[in-house]
Amino acid sequence: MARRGGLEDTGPGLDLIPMLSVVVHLVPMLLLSVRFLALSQIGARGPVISALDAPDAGSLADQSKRVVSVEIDEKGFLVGGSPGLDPRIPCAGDCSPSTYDLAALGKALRTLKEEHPDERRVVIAPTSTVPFEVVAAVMAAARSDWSTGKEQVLFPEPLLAVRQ
Amino acid sequence: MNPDTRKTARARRQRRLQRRLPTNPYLQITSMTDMFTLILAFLLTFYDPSIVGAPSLVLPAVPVNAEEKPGPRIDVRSDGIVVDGVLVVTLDGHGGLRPGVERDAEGIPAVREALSARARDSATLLVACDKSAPYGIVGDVLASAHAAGFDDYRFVVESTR
Repeated sequence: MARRGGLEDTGPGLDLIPMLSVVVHLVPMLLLSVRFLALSQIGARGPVISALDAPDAGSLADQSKRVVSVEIDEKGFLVGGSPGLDPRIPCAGDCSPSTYDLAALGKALRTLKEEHPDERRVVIAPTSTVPFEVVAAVMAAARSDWSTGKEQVLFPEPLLAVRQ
Repeated sequence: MNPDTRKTARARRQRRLQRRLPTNPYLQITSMTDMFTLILAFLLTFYDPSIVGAPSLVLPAVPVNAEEKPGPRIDVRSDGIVVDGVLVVTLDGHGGLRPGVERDAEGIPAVREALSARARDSATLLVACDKSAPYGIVGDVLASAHAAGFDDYRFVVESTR
């Protein structure tokens, strides 16, 4: 009821305490379980190289001189595309994601870029047991070089080979 | 000033202060509620349970910072292959196919089937692979996606740059 000359009685205010209680419980729960990640994407195209349509040995030998490629196996990297380059980059010790020599691969890729300045594609051919972590690291290394502090684009269009 | 006069003056001051204060003070929590609600809204917006807290999907961390594209997403976890949140194939926990799961020259039929409907809407497929997944299973997924009609893959990674 309105009081004469006074303010209208609006009753008790909104009781926010239960809501606050729920929110106070939810916030720490989410903060404990959350991991903040900066996600990105690496683009790739997949020419499916299968046993069914594989080229013959002669064509492959010819291709290996012209096509920039990185094979990843249980011994390390095998780089193709330059006759003057030592193709084998072994792991530092037993091969594991941390022992693949990405620094040496980066150096080899820079040399390949100097020899193939217009090339944007690199064929990446991992064996079936190589962990995806290594494949992602090779795609990133092939994409650009940061050794000088500035980004130098190398081969930003990786083609992933799939062996059947 | 004698001590009695001082005591009386202090008592008077206290009485005056008590008169000024409200008789039934409530804790003012509106601002705090606002703040907590904003924090909660922020966390719920950026919380992605498909990545965060899933031990079977740990993304590789690499120094890239590339343009992001939208598209259907396939997760290659250590314990299964998930297409847009739906488990399609169960794996053995180490990224290998379980015995009895069908596989042919064009990858895994169950994955191909799940992706073929989505390939009509987008040519880009987002692929989020567990970092320990062997390339064999990733290759099978790519072969399946290729057969389903995708030709542009975007690998989701954790950016360290």
